[in-house]
Amino acid sequence: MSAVTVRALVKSYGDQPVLRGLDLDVPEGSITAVLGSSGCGKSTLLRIIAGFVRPGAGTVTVGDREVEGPRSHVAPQRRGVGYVPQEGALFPHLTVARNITFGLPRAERRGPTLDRLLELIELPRDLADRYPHELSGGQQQRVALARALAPGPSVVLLDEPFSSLDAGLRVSAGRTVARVLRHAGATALLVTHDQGEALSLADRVAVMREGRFVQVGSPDQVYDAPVDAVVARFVGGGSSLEGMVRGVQVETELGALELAHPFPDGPAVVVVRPEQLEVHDLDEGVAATVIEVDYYGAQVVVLLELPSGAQVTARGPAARPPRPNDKVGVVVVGTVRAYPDGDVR
Amino acid sequence: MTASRAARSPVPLVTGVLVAAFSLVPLMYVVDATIAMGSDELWDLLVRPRVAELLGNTTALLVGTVALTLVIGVASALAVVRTDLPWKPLWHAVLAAPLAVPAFVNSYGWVSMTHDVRSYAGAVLVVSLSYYPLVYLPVVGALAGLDAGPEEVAWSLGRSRRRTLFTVVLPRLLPAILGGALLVALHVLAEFGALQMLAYQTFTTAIYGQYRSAFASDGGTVLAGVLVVFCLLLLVVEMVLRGRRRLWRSGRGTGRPPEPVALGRARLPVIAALVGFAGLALGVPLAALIRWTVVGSSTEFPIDELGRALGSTMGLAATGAAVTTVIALAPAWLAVRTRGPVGTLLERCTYVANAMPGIVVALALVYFSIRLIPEWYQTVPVLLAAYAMLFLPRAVVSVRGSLEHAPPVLEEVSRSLGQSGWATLRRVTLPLVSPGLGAAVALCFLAASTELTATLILAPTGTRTLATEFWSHSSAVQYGAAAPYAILLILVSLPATVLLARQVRPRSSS
Repeated sequence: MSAVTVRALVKSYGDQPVLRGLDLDVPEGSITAVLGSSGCGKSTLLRIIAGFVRPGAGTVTVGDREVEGPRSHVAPQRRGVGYVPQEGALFPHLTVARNITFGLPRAERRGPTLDRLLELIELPRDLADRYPHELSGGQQQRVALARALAPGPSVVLLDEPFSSLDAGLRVSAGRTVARVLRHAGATALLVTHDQGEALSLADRVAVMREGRFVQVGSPDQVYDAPVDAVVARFVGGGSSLEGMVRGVQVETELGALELAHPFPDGPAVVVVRPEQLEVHDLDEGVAATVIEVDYYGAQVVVLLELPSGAQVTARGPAARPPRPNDKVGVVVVGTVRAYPDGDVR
Repeated sequence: MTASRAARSPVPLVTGVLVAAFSLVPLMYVVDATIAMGSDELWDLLVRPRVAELLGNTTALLVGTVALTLVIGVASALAVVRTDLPWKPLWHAVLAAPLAVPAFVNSYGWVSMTHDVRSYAGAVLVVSLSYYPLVYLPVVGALAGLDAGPEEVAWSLGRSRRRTLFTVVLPRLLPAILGGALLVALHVLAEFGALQMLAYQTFTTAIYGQYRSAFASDGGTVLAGVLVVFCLLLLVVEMVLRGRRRLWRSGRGTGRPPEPVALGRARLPVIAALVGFAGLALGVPLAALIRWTVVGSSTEFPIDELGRALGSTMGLAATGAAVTTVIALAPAWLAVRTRGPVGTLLERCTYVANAMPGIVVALALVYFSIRLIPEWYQTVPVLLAAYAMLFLPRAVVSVRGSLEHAPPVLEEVSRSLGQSGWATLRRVTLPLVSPGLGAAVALCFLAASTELTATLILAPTGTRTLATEFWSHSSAVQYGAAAPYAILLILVSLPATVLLARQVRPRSSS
């Protein structure tokens, strides 16, 4: 059963279409990530589900109740939908405890729920009487989550919840939030532009582009079998090359590569993941020139130029990092996916 | 995206239009009476040396007073919030205190000490000493809430502290500065008691003279019309300067205050300047009051009369302040949350009444109440309506400022937690804006308890307030008899002033 079902959702601001007929199912108990670049309409989707914005057309169902449709509009406070906006937006005039219990009926605000939630979000009990500005960014984020979970919503909506945190904190905060959501058995819809965040935290990833979902699936489906070259490059990165398919192989500048799936013979676009490219000495593979080297300690990312002028990115262990202008040899490992020609953007 | 959504409910808009119409009643009176006059007579009354003289007088006073209050208000706010000045809470209290001394009491203090202040320079000085807290307090509030980040960035980009002050700090204070300057300008345009005592003629004192000599003469109406045009010009100037910026921080909590500026060798001169300034702003009127209370030959303490005047003053002022603040909610909400031309227009409508001298508001209410509901003439509801019209802008400025501390996202979160619109208002919006609402009530109470002209005309027969009693004694040159009323006026204003001063306590005073 789906906790949230969205059908044929349309929304424009003025004559600017934002959502162009969206369908989405958020399965009960799952964490679903909506992944898209900024301005693709993903925050608008969240705000429509929460009830803050009314769509132009389409329906939204939460549980088995239609909350948004041609003849229905349920007010935000009666939807049972939790909302965690960017930066948490804790009530600055209330303590942590009163923030968390804000959505509970008066009689339950002093009950055991608070302690249970504090434990759930792994926040020390003595922080409960502090004010939001006395907490760190990550703590504020967790309190905002506890506040949203307290009334037991059918689904929690998280709008770029980690974008204001610094990089190191973002990963651990994300992990904590995912753990809390799973412990609570909650259903969550997370909006993000960070593909790493979406792939690592969610059970299902919905890739959004120009107001539509172009692919919805498990993280490995989206990563391993992107529906087109643009999704492939957006999720996980990669380089596009022109090629000619013949049977189970595709002929490219990097040699004859093995296809991961059947594809009709003829011209095609091939996407090669950075980790599929190995950089060797000049005498192995296809000759290329090193343009840039980004050193990350354990890993190194190398931008290479092929003889045709096409550029490809390789990522690998940093045992012997090359230097810019080095002549190297490039070898492709594993199978690749092909897409119809003209799908390059 | 956020702006279009908040405008959905028609309730704020309808209420806002009603409030705007209400606050435009004095203007309608002026327009109505002017139209009834006929163009020939209007032209004759408008184009004459007397009007030119009043225009010159009023403009000169306005420019001088606004300039002086801005310098005093901003400089003292910077000294108290941004430097390592010692005893900051004391200085803050001293600098806010003149708010508790009504301008006409201050003038009485000066005039009863020296007649030299009955001049242009004297008028600018005395009026500025009364009104600079209207700039000082909002600027302190804005400074204390300012994040150090942008300033430190400007420094690191090679800007000097002084240039940073002018290019980074002051622009962000602009809404507070402009709001304060507008209030000062509107007060100066409407000031009657102080200028009458200082023998400085402006449109307002001239209109008062006209009305007193001939109940509702065309000459007075024409002068009031010119005054309204003056006010509208000020509003347009401020609107253009303020622009369309949004001020709330969407970040976490409040920003970090910057390191205080070390005064170093300037410390003693700054303290000396503040002491001298306090002497002028507080010392002179208080010394005059004490002198007249102690040595004045006509001094007596009619306890019963004082008590009755005090009781009716507090009752009227408290009710008026509450009514005004409630009315101010609609236009302030529209101005902050929709920030479109309609919201701004409705908000500005409420300012118009404030620039109308109390006498015009009062006579407009007399005019309409006699025509529409004669039995309301000289009743408490009509007097409260006059207070609301007069003090609405004050309330709107405070409420508007506080609404900017309640970003819409907090209301959305509250809705998503199952709270209805009313519950959200009660549990989120009101607590966040209540400091501003408190400020609004305090400001209106202060203004209403010292209001003179409208009270003189509209109060039910026999109702005597501290201000009217003070005025009748002091204009009869019974300085001694006036003194106890002046002291009570100050005492009544004191709690509200303390509340206001506390609200914007300079945060970095450590």
